Amino acid sequence: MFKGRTLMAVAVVFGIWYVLAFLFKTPILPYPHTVFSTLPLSMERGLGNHFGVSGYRILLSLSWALITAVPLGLYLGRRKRIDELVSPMIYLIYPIPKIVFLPLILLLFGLGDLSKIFIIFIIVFFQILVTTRDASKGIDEEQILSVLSLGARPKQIFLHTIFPTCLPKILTSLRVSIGTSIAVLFFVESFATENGLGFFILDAWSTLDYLSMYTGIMGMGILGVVLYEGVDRIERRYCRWMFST
Amino acid sequence: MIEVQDLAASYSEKGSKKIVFENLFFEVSSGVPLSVIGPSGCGKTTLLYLLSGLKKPEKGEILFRGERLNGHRREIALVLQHYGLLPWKTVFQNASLGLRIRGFSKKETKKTVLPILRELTIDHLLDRFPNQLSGGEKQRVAIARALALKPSLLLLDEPFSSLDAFTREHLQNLILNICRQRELALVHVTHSIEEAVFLGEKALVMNEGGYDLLSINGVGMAERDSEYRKNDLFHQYCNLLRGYLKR
Repeated sequence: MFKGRTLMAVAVVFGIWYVLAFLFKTPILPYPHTVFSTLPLSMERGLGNHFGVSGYRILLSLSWALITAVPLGLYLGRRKRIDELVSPMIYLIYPIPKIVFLPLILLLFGLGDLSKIFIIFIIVFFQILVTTRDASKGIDEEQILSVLSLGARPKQIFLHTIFPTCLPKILTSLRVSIGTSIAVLFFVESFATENGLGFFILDAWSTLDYLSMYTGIMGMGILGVVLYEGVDRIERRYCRWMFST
Repeated sequence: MIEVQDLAASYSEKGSKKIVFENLFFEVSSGVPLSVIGPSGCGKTTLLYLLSGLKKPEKGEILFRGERLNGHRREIALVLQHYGLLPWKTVFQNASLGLRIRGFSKKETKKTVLPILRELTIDHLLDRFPNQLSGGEKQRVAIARALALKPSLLLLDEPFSSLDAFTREHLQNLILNICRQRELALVHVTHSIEEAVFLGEKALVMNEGGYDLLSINGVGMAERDSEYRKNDLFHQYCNLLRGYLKR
């Protein structure tokens, strides 16, 4: 799973962490090895469970966003008139911080998981939608004509041309969305919940248990790495041509 | 094989209709290849799309084997200017695409495509992606894809424009051989006068506001080879086309 370059990146991050911890010499910034030594204790306090809950929330919201935004984006990109109608609505809603709808979302979906997943979903939905639509819009018409000239029907044009052309950009938007969704995750797990990495970090912070706090932060980092690595694997498998030289 | 009657094409610009060409009449048959030549924007590519059935004429009609052409036909193969290869498909997958789209089994596809790839000497590149190929190799894959459908009419849109002189001449010879062996009718759009004369027995010279249909069959298809480029007749026809293009 981890290649040499990934290990090197980890070494650099920990190196910087060591230097900063040495320079500041404060309990708020402990040395990495002290944080690692706290890991078994944090696991006993349910860090693994919190990691699982956060992973579930992120995966579900990203899946919802992909399932809805990708087909819609592909469709809008190929239908100029409908795109001209829908785009102003997208541009109106996209820049509004969706967090402002939190009271409404809580009212509609309650205090449970659904409201948390929904708020992450609605934020990343627009990122994926706009990128996919632009990718679909920018498809070289000659490619479509070349497949049409072989007798392709609309479904075959979609399968052989539109979707494969847009896939690398969809995956890029997914990468951006992973970063966004983890940032939003921390926020949504700061209220009305007693599980998730965001809750774990805030709980440790409020009791001045900085070592546990850092284990939670590391958990978020690992969650990101796992998701990014997953996307990279999908890309290497389904966009093999991009890596051929 | 294909007959064009009173064909016209236009486009809209700022609300007004601009005519690209009109009153176009010609026919193409197997063994008498047609070169279409003219300045940029004269409608050469539009004409090719109309002949391929990808676009419908707004006026006039195209008859293919006596029947009105209504949409794409398997017997008509089009090779586009930038090859139209799909970057995520390998050479074999690109060459097989037409057959796969038409529901041929993997076995049947392999049986049809491999000999064509061998004939075009690209059978050693089966698993390569287009970004790993030279311009000439990409062009051969595009030709292989067109031939896999066993067409009777081959339409080429400036097929050699981005190739070096050596590869260009080599592929021109290859196209001639393919058309001869398979008795294909050929319509070939080009900017190059030499290419038009080498590949065509007839030339459709398209200029703004009109067209000329010329016979340039100095040497028959059967005798045409690289030596023809050195022939006086070849140069005479080049000068003839040059004269018509300037008008």
